[in-house]
Amino acid sequence: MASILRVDTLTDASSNNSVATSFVAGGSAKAWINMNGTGTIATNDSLNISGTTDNGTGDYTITINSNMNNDDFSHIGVAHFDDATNGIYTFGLPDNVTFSDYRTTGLVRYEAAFVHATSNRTNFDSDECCVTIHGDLA
Amino acid sequence: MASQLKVDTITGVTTAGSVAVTGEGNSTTTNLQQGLLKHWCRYDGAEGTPTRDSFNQASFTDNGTGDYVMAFINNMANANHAPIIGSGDWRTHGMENTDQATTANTGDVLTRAPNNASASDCDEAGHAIAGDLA
Repeated sequence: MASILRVDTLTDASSNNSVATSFVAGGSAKAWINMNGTGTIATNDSLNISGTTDNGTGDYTITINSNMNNDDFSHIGVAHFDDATNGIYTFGLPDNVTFSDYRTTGLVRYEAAFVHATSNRTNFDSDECCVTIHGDLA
Repeated sequence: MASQLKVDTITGVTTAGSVAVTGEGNSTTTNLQQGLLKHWCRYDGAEGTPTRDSFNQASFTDNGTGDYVMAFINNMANANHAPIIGSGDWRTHGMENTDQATTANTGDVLTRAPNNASASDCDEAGHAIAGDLA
């Protein structure tokens, strides 16, 4: 039978390693996703993600299932790219946009992009792109 | 009244690996196990003993300039975990996720210099994994 435990602090049985339950809730990731952004995009695994949308090359909307409390949450992206040329790869909010449109309580819209020594920022479809969100749930 | 629970292991009743925690806004719950980081490491890739501190890490291997592999103690359920990587190096290295090519028991990172994007050792960096444990 399901049960609810109301408690302020957790410790181990030896009274060591105590942690307030507020840290447990506040420190846990509220959403994460590992997705394939090439071809027909697909979610490999996720937590609290209801869907993804392919908006174009390297441009993805990731929708959160249970919304965040506000849009001030921490969001981190990582993208992989099989590329023979040395490059720096990013996965995050796009340049020159109104951030409030791309990071709301219910979604983030991220772009995967690379910079080469000889080329400017260019979007790419990533075969593995990941986002992790920490913050407060609604 | 403040309360304290003393326990070594928390296990779900309905599903052992699933415990719900009420969110900050009191209107929804989140899965405790799935939200916890399963690995983290702070390292200095320019030194012979790179790892400064870590969690659930069995070993750290330097495979060459800017190329690092961290092996987990308790493996992930699959390779579909979500890595988090970042550099605190003043040179602000770019960090490529090479994790995609690996399995459930390692996290791979390649750091690159910002000026020419060539592989480069990073003085201070962090790596973490969200996802499902085996």
